Amino acid sequence: MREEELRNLIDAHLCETLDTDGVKELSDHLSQNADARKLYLEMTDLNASLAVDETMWVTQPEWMEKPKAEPALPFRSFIPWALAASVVFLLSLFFWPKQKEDSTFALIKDSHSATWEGSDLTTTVGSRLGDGTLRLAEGLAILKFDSGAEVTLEAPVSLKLIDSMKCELTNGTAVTYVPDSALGFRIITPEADIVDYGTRFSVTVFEETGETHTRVMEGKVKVEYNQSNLIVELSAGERHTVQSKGTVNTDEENHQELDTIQDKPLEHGADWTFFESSKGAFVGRIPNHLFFTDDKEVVNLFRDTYVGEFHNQNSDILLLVKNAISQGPMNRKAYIEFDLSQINRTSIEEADLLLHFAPSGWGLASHLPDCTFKVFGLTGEVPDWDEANLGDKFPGNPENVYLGSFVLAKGVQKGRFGLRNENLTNFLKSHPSSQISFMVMRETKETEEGGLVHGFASRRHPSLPAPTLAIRLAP
Amino acid sequence: MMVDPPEPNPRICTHKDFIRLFLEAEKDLLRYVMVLIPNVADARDVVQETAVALWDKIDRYDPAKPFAPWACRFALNEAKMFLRKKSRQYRLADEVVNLLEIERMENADQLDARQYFLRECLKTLPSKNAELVHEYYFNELSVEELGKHFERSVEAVYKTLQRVRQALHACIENKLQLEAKL
Repeated sequence: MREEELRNLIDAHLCETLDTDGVKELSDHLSQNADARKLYLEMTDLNASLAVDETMWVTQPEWMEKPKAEPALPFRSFIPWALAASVVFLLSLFFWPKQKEDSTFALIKDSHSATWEGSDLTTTVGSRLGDGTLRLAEGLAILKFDSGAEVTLEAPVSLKLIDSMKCELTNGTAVTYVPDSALGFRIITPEADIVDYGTRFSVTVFEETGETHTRVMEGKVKVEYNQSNLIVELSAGERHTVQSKGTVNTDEENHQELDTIQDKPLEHGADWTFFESSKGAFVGRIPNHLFFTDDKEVVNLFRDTYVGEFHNQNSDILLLVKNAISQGPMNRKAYIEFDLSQINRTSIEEADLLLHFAPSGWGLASHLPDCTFKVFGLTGEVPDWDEANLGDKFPGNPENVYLGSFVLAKGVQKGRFGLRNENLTNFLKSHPSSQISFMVMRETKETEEGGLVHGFASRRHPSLPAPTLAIRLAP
Repeated sequence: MMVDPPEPNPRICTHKDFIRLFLEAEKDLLRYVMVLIPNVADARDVVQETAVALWDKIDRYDPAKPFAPWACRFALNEAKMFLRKKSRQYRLADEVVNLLEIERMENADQLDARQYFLRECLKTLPSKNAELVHEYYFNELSVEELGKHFERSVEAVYKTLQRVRQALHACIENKLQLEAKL
């Protein structure tokens, strides 16, 4: 038996995935070969050491902020009083070496498409939590504190749990609900403490600048500044920004760095051809308040954006899609166009529309359930539309042909999504023009105002692929 | 009439002594048991049974001698009893188990040396793999839970764990060879 085969057998044995033939094969080999037994002992001891020796994890690797509490210590601490008790009772206690009830004060109530990174706390749903730091890379997670406070984390976010009435938000967004039992619940941020008086509110901290944005949905909160004795009271509907080493009241939403996507490889073979979109824009632009607080400048920006002089803005990198409770210009729909003049469209056998979503940094994911997106093909009177001058209504009067839908689960803001069905194939084959436009809209409305704005990469995105049509032609 | 208090008998192991000795040996006992029973939860059950057996036999223990090797024999015996309850097709042959038991005891020092280098090698893992291994071993997440958290298939998680174990084993070998040259 080659060593690699032996290693595979031993590893499968460690994972308890060996079938009866495998067990017999391993057993036979071990009985005849001392070197095989040596390797077996080394591998099983490596596995055991990792599993039972907590001190292995005490020295901090770079990805851990701090080690977990060493499970053995609590048991050592109760040795003195345990002397009088029966041995059986003692043993029954200390054979749950990871028991941490005494030091926990919260639990993970639920999560949606959550990916954690480097958290020093257990991150499975239902896990009890003590002091430590949670880092949510993607999705949503809902924490329930023993005080009754409920905190929804929206990735990317880092939250340090301190006790059942206190936590520290160092980066990202936390939406908090505080019932009467938890009045006074406190969220500490680098620049201020947000103290809650029975309400629902969101706090966003920008790690790089230390800015803290607070928005109250219901009730009242107090924002206590760290740098001064200033205390600001906020009521329902009000927002407040604490800037690093200063204060400015604004009425803005946040803007975060875009992540690159690590997707599964495309499943298309060599017989597929890929077409990147030739145009991309969205209707429903609104002024970008983030950089301009003066009304005059906002108006100017608004106009300039329409005439296409701000292509480097986030809004041009991402095609934004939103379906708000209230109707108006903030309801965004994305339009993309492909030039298929280089192929004989009648020989299309299969087609796949690929869109790469990325966080827009706008709105709260907590205010949305699973989201269904619909894709329409434009036909009939489709004008030669100008992507730099789309405004808040698509020009002309085209007919929208429903082609299909896809779903982004609650909390999901990035990843590759799209459409691959017969409707799409037939639409491409039968379209009268080789310049073919699509509209992407979100069917799902936000459950309350300030919901997430979804976005997918336009052809101008610096790192993500442009909207792409993958097409397989008949040989 | 006053008398001096009796001298403590060094051969008597009190509750307090037993608890202390057992706690000190617990990790080693688990390591021994996991040679035969890789599943850590099952191994913990076996060590619990071992504790009961040890306490029953504590009057045979000589406190002048190391506790762990004495206790490990009980632990291996309990492990074999545990295995006998499993279907024969799913366990290593009895003679192999006996050989492994003997060789584990004989190679205890070498395996301790390997454990020392394992600590060093853990630090060299890429962060994503280190995180996955940490969640699996320290937080005891199942492969399915890991798959969900890391958005990978169960097979991919198994494969990654296997690769990490192999990488750690190779790293330990390298460090042992370097040590031998010094």
